[in-house]
Amino acid sequence: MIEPGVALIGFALLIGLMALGLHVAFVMFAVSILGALLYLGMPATLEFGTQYWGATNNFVLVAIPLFVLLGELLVRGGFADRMYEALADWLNPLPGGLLHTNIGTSAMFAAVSGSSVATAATIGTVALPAFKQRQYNERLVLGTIAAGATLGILIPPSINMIIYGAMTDTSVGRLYIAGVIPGLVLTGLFMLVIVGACLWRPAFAGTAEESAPFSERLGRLLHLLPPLIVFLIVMGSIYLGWATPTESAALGVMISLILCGFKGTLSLRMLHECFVTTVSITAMIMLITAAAFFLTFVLGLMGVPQALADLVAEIGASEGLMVVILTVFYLILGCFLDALAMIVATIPIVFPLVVALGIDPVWYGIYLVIMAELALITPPVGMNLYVVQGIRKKGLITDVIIGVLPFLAIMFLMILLLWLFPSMVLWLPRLAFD
Amino acid sequence: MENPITRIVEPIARMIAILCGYGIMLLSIAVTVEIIGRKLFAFSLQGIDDIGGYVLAITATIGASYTIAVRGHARVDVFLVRMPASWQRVLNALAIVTLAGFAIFATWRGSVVLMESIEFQSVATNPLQTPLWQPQSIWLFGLALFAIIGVTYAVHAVWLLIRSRPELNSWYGPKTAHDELEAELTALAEREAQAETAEHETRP
Repeated sequence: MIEPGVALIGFALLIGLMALGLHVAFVMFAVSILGALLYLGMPATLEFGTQYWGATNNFVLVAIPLFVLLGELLVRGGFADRMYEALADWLNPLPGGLLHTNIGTSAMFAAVSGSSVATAATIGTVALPAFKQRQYNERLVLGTIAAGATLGILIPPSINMIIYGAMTDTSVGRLYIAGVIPGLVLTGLFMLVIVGACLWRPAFAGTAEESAPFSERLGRLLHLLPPLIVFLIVMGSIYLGWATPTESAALGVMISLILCGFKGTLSLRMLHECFVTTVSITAMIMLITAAAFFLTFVLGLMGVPQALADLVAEIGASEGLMVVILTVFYLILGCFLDALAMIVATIPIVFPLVVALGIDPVWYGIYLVIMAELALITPPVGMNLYVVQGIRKKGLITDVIIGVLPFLAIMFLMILLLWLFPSMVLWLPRLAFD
Repeated sequence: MENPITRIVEPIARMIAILCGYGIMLLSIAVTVEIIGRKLFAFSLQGIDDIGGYVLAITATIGASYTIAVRGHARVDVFLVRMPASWQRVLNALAIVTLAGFAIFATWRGSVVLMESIEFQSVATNPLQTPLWQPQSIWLFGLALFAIIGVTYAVHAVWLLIRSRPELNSWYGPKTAHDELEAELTALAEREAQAETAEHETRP
């Protein structure tokens, strides 16, 4: 029987090597090979080829390139660029005005693209000049863009959920459906913070915008239609059980191609740009995922999941305590790992613990994705902080960090809500699949 | 200045990546036909799931070379960027050398997988009964390409390290949030320009 301490040492090694800046995929591979050599002998390391083929030849994971391509097509096809104006028309009357548009557009953008860099870049570029003109509180503006852009990995289609589903044998369809309500609730809570802040200090919202004539506002709503159609068809076909997430992604790609064709933005050059980005992101993710599958395989042979489960039973830790510990653990990790590295590095060790405690895998998947969202905006490495600061090109990044603090607090509140009301996550997938 | 190895490798790797992209697009078309056929006409393209798996396996390995060329393989840069330049050079060289080592090991084990498929004449358990050596050969070709390109870069990086060349860090350092943002902003500016010309054309 293996000591649980071995897993801890292995995990520390994993994080240590990653911190040195070696490639995430190599680090996961190296730690698995080391574990296999020390505890299982040479034959286990030779299984790598079979495991690699099995991990890459996997229909669940085929959804990854398809969803990346779908997002690329809609973004490069220019469908996301006009969403901002269209939403601004309708969200402006709320206390906090244009700030709500940052969150609303992020949420819609998230529904078509899983990339938070693309979200922050597109929204930031449109939004920052408009806000400057109207003298909004700058920190709050920066905070809404950085925090809003994290919604991308929670609101489906989310690449991280596909990887989580494939690594833990959890249905990706269930995860997608489960992500809808928390995504909407978190969006709503973000907006509530803005309303609260602007009622408390009306100066935060600067000078009010003039509303455009009703007919013009109605006309601009058309810009929201294409992303909405794609989202509804993709999620609808999963919800109704007509298609698996991979199949619905393929359907989404076809619809996006047709939409780009009608809009006149489809060209060979644009298509090839979408292709190369899709392929490089896919290859990057798949190399890491294949190494992560091998790590899970080796740890399984070593008996680590069983040892960890026994440990949990022995200590008699409660679910609640475990969630608190995990939240602190992920918060610390998130300070220096990005979302993907954090998810793949922790699943092999944390997932068995969670299952042993009887926590629902779908619930944990959604929880994990929210913790990964947090990682995007926690200093010092929160990716979104730098992206937003990069668009702004002046001042200190501290402004962005202060701006996201209220939204960080809200995300913790969200975790608490999910814990108190797990049906927020579990109700919709049950309705759809059981 | 651009990495001289990238100047040679990137155009070739890019062409192969585009081919993979067409593969993914064709797959979407086939899957869409399958869904519509299944829902409306009770017919099914047999074995599309397996073909999808092959497309992914091949894209994953062949695309890995292009991803090296565009420095797209994920690394954690938070501590690295705070180290002295000389340490960064060592770690950046070590990162590409270890990645190349990984690629060589994967190619070796991948070749054994292919050999076994040929020896046992393995076929997929689907209606198509695809002989597994077919997709696996292209998959292995991708791995071999990944290893060759990885080793080329690794040798170059080590050579730069020995000669203490400062370019090492800009050519082999991790891609930062700033780099990614620049790429997004350039693409956005291009779209804006395109949209404006389109508007001028429709409203003379």
